[in-house]
Amino acid sequence: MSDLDPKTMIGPYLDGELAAGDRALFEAAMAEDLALAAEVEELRAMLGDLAALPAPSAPKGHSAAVFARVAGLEIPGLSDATETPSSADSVQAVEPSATSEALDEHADIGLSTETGLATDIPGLAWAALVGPEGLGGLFRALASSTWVKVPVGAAAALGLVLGLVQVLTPEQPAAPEADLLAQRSSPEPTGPSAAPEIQEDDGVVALDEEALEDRPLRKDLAMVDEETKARADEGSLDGAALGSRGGVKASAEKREADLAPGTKAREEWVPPLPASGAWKAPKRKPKSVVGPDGVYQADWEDQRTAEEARQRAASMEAAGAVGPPTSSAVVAESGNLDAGEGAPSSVAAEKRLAVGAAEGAEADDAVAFGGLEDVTIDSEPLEDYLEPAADAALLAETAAEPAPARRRRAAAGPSADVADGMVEEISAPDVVGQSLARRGGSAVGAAGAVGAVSKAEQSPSERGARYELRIASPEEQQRLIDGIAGLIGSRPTQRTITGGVRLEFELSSGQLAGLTSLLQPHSPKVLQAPSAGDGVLAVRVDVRN
Amino acid sequence: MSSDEEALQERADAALIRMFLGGDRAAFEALVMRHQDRLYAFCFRYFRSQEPAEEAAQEVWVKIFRSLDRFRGESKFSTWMFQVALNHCRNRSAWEGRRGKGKHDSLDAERDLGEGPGLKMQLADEQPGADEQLEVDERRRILHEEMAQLDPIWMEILLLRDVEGMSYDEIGFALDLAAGTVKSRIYRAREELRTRIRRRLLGEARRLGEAISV
Repeated sequence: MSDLDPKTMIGPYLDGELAAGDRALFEAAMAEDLALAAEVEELRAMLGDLAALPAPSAPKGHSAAVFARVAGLEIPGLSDATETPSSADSVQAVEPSATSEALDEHADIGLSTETGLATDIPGLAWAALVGPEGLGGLFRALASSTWVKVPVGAAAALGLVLGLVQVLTPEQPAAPEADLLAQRSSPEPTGPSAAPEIQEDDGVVALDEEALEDRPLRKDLAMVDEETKARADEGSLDGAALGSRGGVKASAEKREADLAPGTKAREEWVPPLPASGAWKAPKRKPKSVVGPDGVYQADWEDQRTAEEARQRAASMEAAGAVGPPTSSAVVAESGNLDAGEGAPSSVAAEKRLAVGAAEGAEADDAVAFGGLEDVTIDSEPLEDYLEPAADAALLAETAAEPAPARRRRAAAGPSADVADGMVEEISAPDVVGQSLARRGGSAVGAAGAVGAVSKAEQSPSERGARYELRIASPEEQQRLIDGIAGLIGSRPTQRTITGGVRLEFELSSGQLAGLTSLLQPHSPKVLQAPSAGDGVLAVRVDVRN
Repeated sequence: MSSDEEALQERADAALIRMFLGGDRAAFEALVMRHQDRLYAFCFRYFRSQEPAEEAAQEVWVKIFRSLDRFRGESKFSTWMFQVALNHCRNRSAWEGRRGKGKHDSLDAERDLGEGPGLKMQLADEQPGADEQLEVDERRRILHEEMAQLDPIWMEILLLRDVEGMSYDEIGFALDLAAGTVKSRIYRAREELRTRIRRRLLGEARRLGEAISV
């Protein structure tokens, strides 16, 4: 450093770019030269101010605008056959000068124009030959004959979003995503009947892409999360939203007469459901009841009929593995909320839930049923298998209990503890959603409280998500793990499972879109869809070879 | 952010890019969601106004979409992103200059910054104490205005280094400059800004003195 002007070293010194030796020399020079030290301090203050310049976030709708602008563009280096031509219609609308911009970009990205042109010639030729109108027509034709396969949970969520958007349009302020929708040239669905038809086929649901238009799946999933979160925050989250995520469509009508004294009734918005048959929630049922080791195991499998499920549940009851598969709707109608015997420990949790849900009601009143809702269950997945009072209670209790203990207790007999084992495996948010959707105090209508309960009462694992997918290549598996690690900032916990590895980790709701992107190429089976709300989600991904 | 975290972020970006180039548009969306605030903030600082910043940021993303297959992974994605953004902002700025559209907002102007608080609110949040706050606000206002007056060559390198916090190597990659050039250019840019701020403060102090004497 002695060869250099100390002043030229101020910057590197402040930037931490000086080697240790030079740094020591510079500090010695500062100690001798007060003017130099003052200059360093002055510069340090200026750099502090520079770093503190405001960093505005991207404005609302920015990402939607970006997505709309790239919607009609081809993914570079990818042949047309492998990419879903979802919204090429917007090419002309959003890229009026695609050719000139494509030429211009090569200068911007610091590459030679010659090189850039060479790689972009197919795209330019395509745009020039087909033209905006022809391009849109071609892709529309392709879209009309194309079916997109998506996992059941995602499809249900998507159907829900479409239904909600349609239902909400006249009364609710437009969601941010509406900006994007408005930019699309394709006509909007105008009523419930315009919701996408879902066709079931071997664990996947086929969506008519024409009905979906060009809305990427992940965006719609993100919309679900944002939509439900927003409604929870503003106190208008409906039971249908939560219920549908668990495969239940529930509609409810608040009945103040049923409310116990001291329980505050809240007027909440409950959306009408899409027209019957417009979309069908996936049906779910336990795949197995007692595992090889005699321990209760419940897993959920799509595409079984409710009748089959009832039969299975009846056999479960006969085997003493679980309490009677009483429909919680029936129980709720009878007013026997706490289910009495078999679930004594449920009271406390029920109380907590009820307190949260009733919002302001006296706890005892709430437990003593702050009243019931009229609930219509349109499809019947979970309620056939759960003790209605136990489920919510066990959710709260099992969170703090280690899994082995739960399994031991689950194996002990047909009690609340057995149901405990169920709860461990069952999508917790679904249960809570349904429980609240049909319980007293506030239940379906008290949607805002649902959000509050979700946040206050549910542990991360209860708000978690579970996926299962197959990746044959170890390299691909590692890439996925690396991707997840990059997303969450740490390595996911890995456990060896039969034929693969189980990844367990936590992530924030905001990282969900990133996770979906990582998993989507492997066509994951959504065993438990993530629930709405802020905070940490516990995620489990079973990767099988 | 620690170097480990940076490395993980980098790997996540790389994974998303691979997925995108494999045909997954949602991976690009994830990429946008991860970096949109940073890119928008860069454009905002470059143009000091919301409208051109938003347009520029959107255009940059379109360029990134079209050019991702040419990202070789020789740098972090964010470095490459800023390289694209910088070139685009330069071109756009020159284009606007030719069209006489170089109008920028003043720092005093309250802006609609999307969902976040206004610019003044953000500044005010940084410091406690009313008097200190005024002083800091004033200093930053001057800094902001003088940044806008800098030659773009100095302004850009200060944005990359002192606002975005890029390393000398990353700046060298983004601007295609040798390490020594980066170092000297940073030094000169800072000197230029400091000189301007001093001159401005001196001038304001003089005007204040004249006003008092009158």
